[in-house]
Amino acid sequence: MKRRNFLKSTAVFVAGASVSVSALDFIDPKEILAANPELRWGFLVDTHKCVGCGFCVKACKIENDIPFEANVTRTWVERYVIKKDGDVVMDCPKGARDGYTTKLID
Amino acid sequence: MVEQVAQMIVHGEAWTVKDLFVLPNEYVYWSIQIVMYPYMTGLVAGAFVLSSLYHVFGVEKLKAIARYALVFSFALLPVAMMPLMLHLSQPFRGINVLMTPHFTSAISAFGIVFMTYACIVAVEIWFVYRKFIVESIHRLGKIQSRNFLEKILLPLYKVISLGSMDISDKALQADHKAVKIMAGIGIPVACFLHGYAGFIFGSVKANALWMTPLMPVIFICSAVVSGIALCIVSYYIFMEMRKWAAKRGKSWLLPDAMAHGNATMRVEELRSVQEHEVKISSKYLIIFMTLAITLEMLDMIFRGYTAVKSWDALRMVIYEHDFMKIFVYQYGIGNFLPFLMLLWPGLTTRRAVIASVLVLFGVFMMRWNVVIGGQAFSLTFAGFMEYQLPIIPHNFETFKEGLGGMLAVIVTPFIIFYFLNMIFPAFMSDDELH
Amino acid sequence: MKSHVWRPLYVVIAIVIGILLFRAFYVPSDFGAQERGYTFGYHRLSNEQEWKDYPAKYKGNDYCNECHDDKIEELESAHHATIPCENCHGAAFDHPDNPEKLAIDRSRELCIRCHSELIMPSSDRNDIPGIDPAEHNKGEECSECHNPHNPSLEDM
Ligand code: SF4
Repeated sequence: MKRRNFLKSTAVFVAGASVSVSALDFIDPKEILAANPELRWGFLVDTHKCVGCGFCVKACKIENDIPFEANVTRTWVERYVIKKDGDVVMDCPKGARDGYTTKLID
Repeated sequence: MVEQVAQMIVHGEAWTVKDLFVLPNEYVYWSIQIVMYPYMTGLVAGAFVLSSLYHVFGVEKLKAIARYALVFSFALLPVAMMPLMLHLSQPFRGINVLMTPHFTSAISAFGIVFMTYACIVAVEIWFVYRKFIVESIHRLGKIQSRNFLEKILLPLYKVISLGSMDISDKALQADHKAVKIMAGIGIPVACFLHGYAGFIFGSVKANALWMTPLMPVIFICSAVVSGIALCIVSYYIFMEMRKWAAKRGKSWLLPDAMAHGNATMRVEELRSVQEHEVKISSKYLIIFMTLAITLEMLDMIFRGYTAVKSWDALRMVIYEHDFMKIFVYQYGIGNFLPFLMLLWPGLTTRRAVIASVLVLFGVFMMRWNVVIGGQAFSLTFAGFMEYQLPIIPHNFETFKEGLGGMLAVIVTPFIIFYFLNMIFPAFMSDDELH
Repeated sequence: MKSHVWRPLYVVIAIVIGILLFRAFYVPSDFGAQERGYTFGYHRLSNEQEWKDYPAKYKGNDYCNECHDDKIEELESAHHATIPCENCHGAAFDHPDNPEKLAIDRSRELCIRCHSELIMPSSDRNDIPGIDPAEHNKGEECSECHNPHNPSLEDM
């Protein structure tokens, strides 16, 4: 499914995803729910917007009491690099807890 | 608080070796205890099927081993749950899964399946031993000064008898019929109990090695195989012990002698029973083995032929990473070698027993290859993980999920069986029982 | 038919009733997602309060704004507007009561999470000004030259 179509087909998502984070406050979840009783909430991440800073991983670990040094995370961010010859290299050091800071792939 | 949390162990980190691209959360979570779980349920189901061969299909020759297999299956039963409890990091939450059964999660049916089966085995044992129980109550009741054991046994028997003291011929006949019915219902339920273990694996869509509808059937066949093999081996060992005890007049060590004081059997008699039962059982072992091997081969060929997307990673695991374990240990030593040994003419008791030991090993390797092998490749299909069985424990976690926990699970049924034997003597001859 | 044969059945029935009774008292009555069939979801009405009482560690910019509105204002008029305070200042917990002071992370490691230059054509990372941490003023704290609340050097 194309990203456009996907967004169109989920009207509520468009409202949430296409505006900047601070504008999210304008949406009152209760109002939306009243208008669409069948609504089921989802979680949408625009991977283009992700810069690989890993703050989400760090915050998630702290928020959920996940041992910080242990190599486990509830959420993590993977990095995929598609080379010109079609090879795909990927890495995910420590689940990206400290972000992606080098060009070197693990 | 933060420091305390930081010291927490990561379940799986101690024994997982990662290779290439593996997701950060991926470890070999399902360790030796999850290998033991289908193995032990398999033994339970297999032992029950062996006993049913006599009770339902009337294979008279299996009479002696059938009663033994039934009691042993009951002793194995609580142990089927033990690996799961040992595996849980929060064992006290295990009850939640039993208390909230539903049909959208395979493991949630565990309580129902397990309890149904446990009830059936218990009821069958009750009918088989009812006459003995009633007689024991009379016998123990007559004794003036009871020793410690008899003091425990008498009220116990009174409770177990459920107050039915009728041992007229008519009542015994009803018992007999009931045994037959219970054993009849028991076979499908035993198969279900174990097919269910296979179902849990087979329904894991995310795991390429497990995802096959054949899984429950494969599990059932190898379960019956391993159950019969274990009965042969343990029956042989127990009979050896009894012979040893009979020869040296140390029968008082035996549990049924302790409790009932009459385990004085002659050595020759024991030997002939032992030989007879072991050989006949091994015949049935071959039948079920053929079935099990065929199915496993079929599964392998099917995967190779259809070669779905995950086959590349699977093939790597099957033919390279786990080649020794699958083809040498499981099929070679665990299947074909004992198969030949059993088919070779002039079968001796000892050869049958050695073959059965190999079969047990083979089935164990099969469980290992399914459970551990299934986790050998990362969900990314671009990396591998290797499980290293913790042998020397350095904390409780590595003990219970390592060699120590495994041995504990293996030893427990025998301990339970020893004490169960005081209540339901599995080795008494027919004149002593009904 | 009154026969001893049925006695085990009574025992089994008694056990089942016992388990059901225990279950009735052990499992919360609104457990499961009733309206969506025979499925169990995460959400259970009767333990909503339990979760509400569970303290959140990250409180969000609005919480910071209650006292530090001047800083927020400064931040929001500059390039780092989208970065939440707690990314650098650490999770608020019960600040200002506990901890009284938040430990600010001023390390280079923090900044290069975004500002180490990577080639990522399919990501907005490419639009962020980037440096090579191995070359760019090695060993110095970024904040010695750049004001984190208003990082552009021209504005300083
Ligand atoms: S790594 Fe996490 S916090 Fe950073 S941009 Fe990507 S999704 Fe957002």
